[in-house]
Amino acid sequence: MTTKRISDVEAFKKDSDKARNLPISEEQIKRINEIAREAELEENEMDETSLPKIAKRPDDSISAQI
Amino acid sequence: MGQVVRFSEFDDYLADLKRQGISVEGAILDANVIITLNYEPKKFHTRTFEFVKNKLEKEEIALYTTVNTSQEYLEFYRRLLLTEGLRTAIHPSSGIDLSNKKKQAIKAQSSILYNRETHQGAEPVFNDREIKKIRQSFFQSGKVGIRLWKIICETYLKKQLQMEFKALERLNVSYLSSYKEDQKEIFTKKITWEEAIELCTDVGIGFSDSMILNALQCTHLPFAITLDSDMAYAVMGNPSLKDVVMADELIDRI
Repeated sequence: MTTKRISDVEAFKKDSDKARNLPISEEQIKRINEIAREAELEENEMDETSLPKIAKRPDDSISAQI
Repeated sequence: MGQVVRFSEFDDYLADLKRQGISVEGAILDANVIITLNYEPKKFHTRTFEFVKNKLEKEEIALYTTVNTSQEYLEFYRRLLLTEGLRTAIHPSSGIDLSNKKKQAIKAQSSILYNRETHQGAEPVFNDREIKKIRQSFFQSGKVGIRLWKIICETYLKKQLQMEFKALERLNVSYLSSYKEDQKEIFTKKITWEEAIELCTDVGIGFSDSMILNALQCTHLPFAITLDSDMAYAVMGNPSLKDVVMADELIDRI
């Protein structure tokens, strides 16, 4: 014989709302910002290395034309 | 012949089933009903919530669903939680300080979403493609970018999605399976892929809808509850199918 399980919609919604409104701690924000800083440095380095070689050589006649 | 029953006519429908001696032990829920139950911006949230609480719960009608339904529910919440998390992350009050590049990547997709909300009445939820684009911009920053994306997921998605899954347990929805010992008496025959394909290809309904209808046909359960017109069209096109119960407004649009 199946044991009937009856729903509890109020409790379902309440628990789901708790999940969506879970507070974020200062510690979590700090960790994100630390890694964000590292990632920004990495991005800046990548941007630097991707600059065309020509622009780095002001004495070069080709770059002088540009 | 299968009927498409309005929420507002449910009391009469139920009384009629009982008069015919049909046992109403339970009903099958579609994924969109479960999602709409606890997501207030959804158009039929209030109507669906009141229907499940005041009609199904009150009559002690047990709820059943397929494993597919839970997958759809969790997929919706994955996208919702990530949308809310990423939009929070770029908000000045969040205290989170991403690089301009990362903020721009999120803002670009957020603007597209905002336009969709404003002009098409869409829900404030990124589609999968938008999430992929944002993630791509993080991964392009190499190992550190990947770490940054992972910690954002850990902060806004990990625990929350586990909680959403646990919340489903409060709904006390049972997964239909003919292999479960305590459900054997619910089934009249085995669920097969071939029959689901038959239902899908009859009027071309979504496959997950055909799986719900297929499960319904294989059990003693008399009706399914849905917010998807595909299910209504399937029932209208096939007199041998059982009934579906839907919000009145959806039936009016058919």
